Amino acid sequence: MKNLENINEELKGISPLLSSIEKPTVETPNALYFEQMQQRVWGEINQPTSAIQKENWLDNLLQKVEGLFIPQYALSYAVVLSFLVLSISYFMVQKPTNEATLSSLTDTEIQTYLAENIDEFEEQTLMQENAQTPSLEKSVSAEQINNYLENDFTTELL
Amino acid sequence: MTDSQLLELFHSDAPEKAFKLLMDKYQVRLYWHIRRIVGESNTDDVLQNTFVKAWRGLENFRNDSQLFSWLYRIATNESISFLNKEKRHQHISFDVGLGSDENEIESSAPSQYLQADAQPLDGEALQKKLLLAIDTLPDKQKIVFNLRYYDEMPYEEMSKVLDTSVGALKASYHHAAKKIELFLIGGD
Repeated sequence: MKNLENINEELKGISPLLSSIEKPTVETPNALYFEQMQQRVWGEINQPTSAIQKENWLDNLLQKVEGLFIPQYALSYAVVLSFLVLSISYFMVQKPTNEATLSSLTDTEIQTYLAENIDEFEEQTLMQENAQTPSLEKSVSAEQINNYLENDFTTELL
Repeated sequence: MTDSQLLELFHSDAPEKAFKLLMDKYQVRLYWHIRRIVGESNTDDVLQNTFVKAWRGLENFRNDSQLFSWLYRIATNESISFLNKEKRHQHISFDVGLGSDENEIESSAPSQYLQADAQPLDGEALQKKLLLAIDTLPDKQKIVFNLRYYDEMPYEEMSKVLDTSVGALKASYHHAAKKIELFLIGGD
């Protein structure tokens, strides 16, 4: 009783208007409602544990999946996913094509290349790479070698 | 039967009988507590979940708080979880949550109840407006107000139910009452 008096006094102090309003009286559901409710409670309590656990696991999973379809989150996920896909595609395209290796080149291709770019090679380099080239006498000058390479160069040396 | 006797019976060889007595004792209060939070149409499921959780937790109930505070706490948490789930799905129920079908408030703007040249509201209309006003409160504030106003719960017990300090609860109740008053005089 004292608690109720305190509550009434408290409300009067905060809001005289609110304290003057009679509390709404409402009808409580009948006994049948609560009887049925209790039956449902017992029904759930007596469910096999594994069924409940399975249901809870599924419920949790569905809850998480459902979250993906909430519009504000779905849009974010879509943007992130699109960005990832585009990034991967970009780097895949930029990846250099297989470089030709020397082993895949034919002799004809090598010879043609050397003929067209002979000036870029030093004479000593060519000599070292060509095992069939006879060793030069020390008396042969570099100028002679250059002349030879530019004028008398034949494919047989390769 | 007192709560202690109920618990004693539960821990003896008749737990189901004890739990049935517990449900009989608290089902109406819990029904209204939940209904005022989640609305009439959602009360059944939340109430059922509350009792199922109570059954599973009663074995470990340590009697460090009153049984009805513990039950209220479960009911409150279940109600809030329900509301949060509904908000995620954007299916918030705006059911006023009090009264029989005859007294249910149809969704209507507050201005319907107070116009420039309106006659003073009669008792019934004022009560209806009060229900509307309570429904506009934020969830937690609504719970505090309901527990104090309808359930006449002492702040100390409320503190155990809501795990909030007495001071915070008093402030929350004060603000809730002021907001409702403002709503009633048409100044919201």
